[in-house]
Formats: sequence, C-alpha cells, structure tokens
Amino acid sequence: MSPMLRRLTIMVAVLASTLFAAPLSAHHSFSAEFDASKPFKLTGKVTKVMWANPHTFFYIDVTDDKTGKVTNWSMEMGSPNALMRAGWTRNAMKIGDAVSVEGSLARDGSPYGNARVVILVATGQRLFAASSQGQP
Amino acid sequence: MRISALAIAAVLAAPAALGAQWLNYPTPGIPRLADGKPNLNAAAPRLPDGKPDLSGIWQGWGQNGLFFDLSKDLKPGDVQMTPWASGIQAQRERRDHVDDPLGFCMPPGVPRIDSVDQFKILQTPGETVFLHEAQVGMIFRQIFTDGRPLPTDPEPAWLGYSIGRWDGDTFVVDTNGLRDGGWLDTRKGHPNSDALHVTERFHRRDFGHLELAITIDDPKAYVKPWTGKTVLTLLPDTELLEAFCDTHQQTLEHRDVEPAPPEPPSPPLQSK
Repeated sequence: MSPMLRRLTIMVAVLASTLFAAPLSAHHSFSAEFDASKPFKLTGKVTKVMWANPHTFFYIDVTDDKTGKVTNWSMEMGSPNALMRAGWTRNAMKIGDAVSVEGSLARDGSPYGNARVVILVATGQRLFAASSQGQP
Repeated sequence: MRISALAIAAVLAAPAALGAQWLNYPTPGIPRLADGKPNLNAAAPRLPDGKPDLSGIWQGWGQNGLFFDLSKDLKPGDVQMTPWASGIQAQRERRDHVDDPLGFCMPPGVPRIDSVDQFKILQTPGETVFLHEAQVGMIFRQIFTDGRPLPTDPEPAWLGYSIGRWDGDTFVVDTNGLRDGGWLDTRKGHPNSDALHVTERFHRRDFGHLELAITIDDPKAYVKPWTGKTVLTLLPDTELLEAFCDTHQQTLEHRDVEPAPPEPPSPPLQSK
C-alpha cells in the first residue's frame, strides 16, 4: 500500500469511527429555551452560519407553501467541537444549501428552533446537530 | 488514474482532518488490533514506578444519564437531603433546571466537571492534571500528589482544592473548599454546600475504561454520605480542541424565564 493510500485509508477509518462514536452533547439550557413537546420539521435555504460557542447557529429562509411568505428561522445546534466530533466541518453546510431540519420549537413562539438532525437535501446526508436535547 | 483520483481525495480530506487541531490523529503508542483499531480491552498501562498510568483523553461520565441525576442508580433512601438541601433541590427541579449556572457559561464544580464533554489526564510525579475541553471553556484541575494536606479553612472555589494518593491500583482524589449552593447534577439539581468533601476513586480497569466511584460527604446537605458509580471511556485517536464560551449572548437573547427566588445559604454546621 502506498503511503498516500495508507494515509487515506486511516483517515477514512478514523472519520468513520468518529461518526459512529459521536458523543452525546449534554448542555443544559435546552428547557430554558425550547419545548420538547413541540417538534418541527422545516425545509429551507441556508442564509447564515454562525460557528460559535457554546452553540452554533444557522439561519434558513422557509417559504410558506400557501402564502409564499418567506420567514427567516434561526436554529441552534451544539458547540462547534461537539459538531466536529460528530463529523462536521465548517464546510458541511454552506450558504445557499437546501436543508431539512428536525428539532424542537422555541418556548417564546419566535421562528427559532433547536436542531436535532440536519439533512442536506442535495445528498440526503443526515448530520446530527449535537443538540442539547440529546441525539435520536 | 485510480491512484491520482485517490490522491486528490486525500488532499481534499487532509485540510479538514488536520485543520481542527488534530481532531482525528492516530494516538501514538496505544495498543491496536490487527485491523488497526485501538484495543480498548488491552491491559492498563503502567508507569516505571509500577503505578497505573491514567493518561489519556476520557469522555466525561455524564453520557449515561448521571449528568442529569447523579443518584439515578441508587435506591430511594440512599440520598437523604437535609431541609436546606431539599428546599433548594425542589425549586431547581420545579423550574426545570433553567437556573443551572452551567447554562450561563459558568464552570461546573467538582465532581460534575468530570461529567461534561471530554478531558485529558496528565500524570506527573507531584501532580496529576485534568485538562477539560468543556463547552463553557477550557478548564484545568490540579490534583496534588506531593503529600500536602487539604486546606483547613479554604477560600471557596468552583473546583475547590484536590489532593491525590494511591490505594493499591486506585487513584483516590479528595476535594474540599467548594462553593456553597453548587449543583452536583443538572435535571435533579442536587445541591452541595461549602462543607462538601468529595472523594473520587479512579481505577483504570483496562486500557479503555476508567472506573469511577464518587462519594458525596456533605453534612449540611445530606444526612449521610452517598456514592455514585460510573465508568469513563477512553477517546483514542483524537486531541482536545479549543473551546471558549465566546458567543453566549446569542443564546441568552432567546431565554425568557422569570428570575428565580434567591436560594438561601447553607446553615452553620451542627456540631455532633
């Protein structure tokens, strides 16, 4: 095996093991902001990604099928480190990407949610969002 | 042709893998199976002096639910709160733990600091150091093994004061000097007072598993000492990452909760 091939093989093996061993994120503020009894599933286009501690945020434009009205939703995920340990990179989700998001709605009724799963529409890839609610 | 495609893939993959502070990098010197995977069931390593070597990156013990309730595996009656502790605990649980200082990017105390995220143990002759990569920041914990005693009148601190010693192959860490009104867990919000004495007993069962028994001895908060048990798992082929709680304000914008009634300080210790 060439060194390059070996390196790639190790990289793939390491990445795969990381994906399957994604640690549960157990942050604390979930119940202060979100209601686990109000799940949602929304699809929209990414407008902004804030890779920040202790929570990464991203924003999506969601179009109402009936009225055509566009609402910009903000979504909270886990910390950048928790996301990276779950297999994300900073380029996993880019502005303009279409994504489906599953999670829990904010208590305050605003267009804001805690993302548990993010699915890239183009590839169908499921990315767990290191949510403070725990992963499915 | 096939090789060049792989080479391109490798080049593309490399920045992601190497850019994140060695997130995925094979840990040198760890036992491996024939397929190259870390052998977490291999024998625990030892230092030249014969003592177990606890070094490595460990997943915090909160993964199995103890983060939410440190007493979850115990029988009712094992954890008997004093009236002071019981009043505080009831308020915290009733408010769905929204007042947890950890939710405001404050550090967890001892023993909860070892439950969150991941931490690296560095073992030196006079001191064992825990380096924590926590969502609330990078925190270090010093456990002195040079024979010094615990302080008798300590200034209360988030992580208190820790000394360590060996009991056979078990590393025993004693901690005092913790802040009054601390949180031992999250959903239950079991409180501790400034009289808390924590004893943590670490035993590296094999290469990949670190058994831990945590004894809570806090006469102001609990009628008798109680012990929670768990097992930490080694995180091989990775390193700690930088973590600062630098954009917490964004989270707080959405937090709409009534301020909690202030929790009373612990009463003076009754002499027995």
